[in-house]
Amino acid sequence: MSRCLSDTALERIHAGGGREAQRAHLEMCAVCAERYRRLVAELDTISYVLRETDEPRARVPVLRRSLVPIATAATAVVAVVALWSSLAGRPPVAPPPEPSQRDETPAYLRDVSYTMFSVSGQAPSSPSEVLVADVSTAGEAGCEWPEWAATNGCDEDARVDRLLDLFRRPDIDG
Amino acid sequence: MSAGDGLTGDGRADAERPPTYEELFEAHRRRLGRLCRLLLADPQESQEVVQEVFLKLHQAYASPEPPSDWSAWLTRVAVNACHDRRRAGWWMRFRRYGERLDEATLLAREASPEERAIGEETWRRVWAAFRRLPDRQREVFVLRQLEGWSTQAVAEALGLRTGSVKSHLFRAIRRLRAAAVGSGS
Repeated sequence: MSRCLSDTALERIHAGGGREAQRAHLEMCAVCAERYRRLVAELDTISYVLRETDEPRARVPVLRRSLVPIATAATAVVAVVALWSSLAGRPPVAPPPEPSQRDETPAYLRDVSYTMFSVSGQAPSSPSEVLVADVSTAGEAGCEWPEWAATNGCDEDARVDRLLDLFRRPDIDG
Repeated sequence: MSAGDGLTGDGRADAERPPTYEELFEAHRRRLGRLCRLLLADPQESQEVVQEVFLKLHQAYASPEPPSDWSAWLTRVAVNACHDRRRAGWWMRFRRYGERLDEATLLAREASPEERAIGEETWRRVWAAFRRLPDRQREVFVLRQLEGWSTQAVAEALGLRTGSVKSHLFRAIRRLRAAAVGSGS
């Protein structure tokens, strides 16, 4: 082999590889031997750097460093919200009516019965008023388990039927 | 290491008596710390690995058949422990990225006199190239070039064929030289 060795060949030889002919050339060629000495010196420098000096800290940009936990936290929040919304898929429970709203219906019915059944502008005879009052307040006073449920039932239809019955009473109609 | 402490220069026991645990610890603590830092890049993690290694040393020391060559045994255990750490998964990588901000002050550290003598640019380039090496190439380079192991010993320690060891070393040398020469030094 007459041609000088490439850098790659010299590096292979140093790593324990290379062909026999290349090794033989290295022993005979002064130029290649000098280049090989330089390679070894460079590797000594590299070894010295790695063995004796401290590693420079990685230059992780502050933005990237701070984005990692933020992105993680955001992902976790999204996951929790998605989980919560899938579990809480049932319709929301309507809030109970306020006390003022509860009082409006009986008062209105009382006014209606007063207007319809009053003859002299006085208060109507007590039965109708009492009945209307009974119907209108049944849901509040007696619509509690078990009293109302055991007697009349606590549904809206029953209350409407009872209200309509008032208009069919013969003594009032007549 | 002096001749009277039961250890030779590389931490092996004299013929007269086996080294004590404390002697082995003192003889290899710095070397293994350095080795683990080279292989892991994370000082805290490498410290943990060194502690693991010395815990295993303690167990092996008390075993009925302790290793004959403590230096090689410790190196092999340390390399394997670092290898396991790197394979530990995303959490370790996350930890590396999630460095605490108070460590960021170290970024501005001044180069030491040795580093200045080499040339700061060379110093940075060599370390950067070393960190970019694939794990196997880094392990082979450290054991073969820095620890001075033979190709055969490296192959046995890492479970590779000798041809693979030579190939990994060649590639590592190429990359590191390119980095060092690229700095113009």
